[in-house]
Amino acid sequence: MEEVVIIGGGPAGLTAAWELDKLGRQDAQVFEKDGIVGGIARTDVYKDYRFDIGGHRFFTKVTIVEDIWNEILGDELLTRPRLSRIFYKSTFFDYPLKPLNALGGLGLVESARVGFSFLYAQVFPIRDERTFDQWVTNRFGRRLFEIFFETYTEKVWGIPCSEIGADWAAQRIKNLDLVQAVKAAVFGQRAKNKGEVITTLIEQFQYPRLGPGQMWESCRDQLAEKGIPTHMDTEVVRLERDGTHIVAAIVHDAAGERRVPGGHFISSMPIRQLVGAMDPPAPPEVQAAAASLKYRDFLTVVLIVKDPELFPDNWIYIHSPEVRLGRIQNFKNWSPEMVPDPSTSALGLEYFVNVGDDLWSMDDADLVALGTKECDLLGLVDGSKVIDGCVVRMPKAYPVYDQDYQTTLDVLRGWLDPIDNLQLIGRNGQHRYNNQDHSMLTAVYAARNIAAQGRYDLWSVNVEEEYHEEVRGSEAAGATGDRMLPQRVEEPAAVAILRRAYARYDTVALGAAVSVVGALALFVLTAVPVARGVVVEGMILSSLAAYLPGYSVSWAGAVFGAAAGALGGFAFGWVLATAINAFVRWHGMALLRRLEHLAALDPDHGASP
Amino acid sequence: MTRDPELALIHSAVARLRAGVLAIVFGGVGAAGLFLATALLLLQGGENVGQHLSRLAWYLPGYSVSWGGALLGGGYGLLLGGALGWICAWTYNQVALSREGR
Repeated sequence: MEEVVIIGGGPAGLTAAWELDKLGRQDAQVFEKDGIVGGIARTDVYKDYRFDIGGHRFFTKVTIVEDIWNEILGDELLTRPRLSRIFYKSTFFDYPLKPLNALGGLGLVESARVGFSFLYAQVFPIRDERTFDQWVTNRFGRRLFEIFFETYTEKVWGIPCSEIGADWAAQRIKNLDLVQAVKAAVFGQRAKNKGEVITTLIEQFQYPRLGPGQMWESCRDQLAEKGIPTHMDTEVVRLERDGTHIVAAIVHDAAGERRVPGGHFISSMPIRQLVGAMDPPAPPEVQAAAASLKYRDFLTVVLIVKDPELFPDNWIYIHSPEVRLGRIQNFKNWSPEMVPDPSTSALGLEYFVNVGDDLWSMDDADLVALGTKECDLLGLVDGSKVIDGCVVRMPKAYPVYDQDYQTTLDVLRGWLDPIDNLQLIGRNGQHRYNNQDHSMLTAVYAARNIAAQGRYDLWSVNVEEEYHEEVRGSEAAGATGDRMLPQRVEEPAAVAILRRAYARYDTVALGAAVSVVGALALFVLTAVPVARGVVVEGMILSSLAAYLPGYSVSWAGAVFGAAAGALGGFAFGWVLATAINAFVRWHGMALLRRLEHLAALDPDHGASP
Repeated sequence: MTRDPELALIHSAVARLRAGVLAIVFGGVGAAGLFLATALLLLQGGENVGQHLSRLAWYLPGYSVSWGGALLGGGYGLLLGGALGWICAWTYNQVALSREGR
């Protein structure tokens, strides 16, 4: 058997080794360049305080992945209550957003501004809806966009909302329907279809007792017991290549460089570094493509606070524009055992940055001071109670999908895919914004490919489903999900535009709608004076009898009027829709005749291949 | 007459009504209608101003043919018109959706 070389000891790399072991392949070895496993899902330790790089809830739609979590940790996987809120102008708002809670928190004046802004957007929507800010404004109004969407989105991605495509907004925010939310608030959440149960993940989640790193430390240790080593502080610096076949990895550790031959290679290292490690080097255009991949980086400022209970949230989104802080994790609320001294709390202040920018380059002590000052300014923490702190920087935390991302990735895959014994897995391995579970699924499939347990396309993981806070019971087994990133704006298809422009009215539906309104109007108009006892001879309403024989201002007349209003309304609506449809159809045909005429005049018409 | 599949696709589309927009339009018409109807009578003046219109108070508590009543009527028109517009659009969309799904 040919040995398997796994590059990276994050969730993907370690899962690949785990799955290979289950398939009877104990000939794998993992190389991790850091001194800690777990990648971005690691748990760091500072003076016995444990903290994550971001928060990592464990939930998945993928049964295979859930099984692996349980195999590795068993009872150590806790079920934790969830509370996460948005903090804006000294007020907490529920997250996910709830309209009534949001309006209540904003106060009367701001709510009125939000209301008028919403009405304005409904009457004067932005016609050519192409960007994130336009999409949100059209649905929620400009003011709500500014409060709940603009600041945080720009903090996270470092891109103006006016440069982010509307598709991303549609995917990320589509479940936030104001009308549905109000209905849910009033009537409660119900299953949408018979047999379909909506399992909400909003209330609780699973989490390892000692943080996500415990999962991967345990995985590494169990693998070691089975003879599958994870080499720590060992970086893969070169990959020896013979045409489209990798023959060995050159690794570098404290003892220097050594050569590790292998038959199969699984890489979760960033594609940019992978291509750079090829020996002989990749063609210049491939190297240029790899160098153009972009990442968003991340740093966490950990504050240890002499206060046993700061706030009940697991994490808080900071929308306040006056601070650069993006999100705060309260690790004690993730698991009490993350904090060794119960009289203290540990916070993780998250800043979304780029390597080399001012925050990234700032001294640790200055970052701790900045974090303390911002928390104090927000009123979330008394700065004088901060007794210690540290900083963790995480480069390449998020792959960025810029305008050229897809083209670049196509170039890279065009060169990498033909390499017959190399498989790319994980978030940075594929330059895809995978969640932990999707990264693990790519690893499972890679292992099965090696063990000849099928032929899986690793790039198909993640493309067909959406990432969401909730999962429908009927989809819970085996589905995959995708967390999208800001993407370029796409031109709508001509047919889609014409479908919208020349859509016909449903005659029966418009008839029914006007029928309901007619019935309601006539019933109320008649019933109110009867109920109030103000019916008098010769009132104008009674003249309706001239049009509706048998009608009178009485209870019977109210019922009769409702029936007549329903019938008359239906007829009116039906005729109206039919007339509009006839006109629109005539206009559409005239337009087509005109286009055909213009095409006939075009000298190039029909000449193109 | 359908000439090709794309044309058939275009013709198969069913329009949706935006409930918010229809509510605002109906509300606007209702508000303007009641305000103007009251205001015109007041501007015309004379005896027994608005003896018929004042019966709207049966339906709209507090309403009268006065400038205050014109404003209140405008508010009522906005609310009731908005509600009717929203109901109309909602009913239309529900019926259209159910028929489309068949």
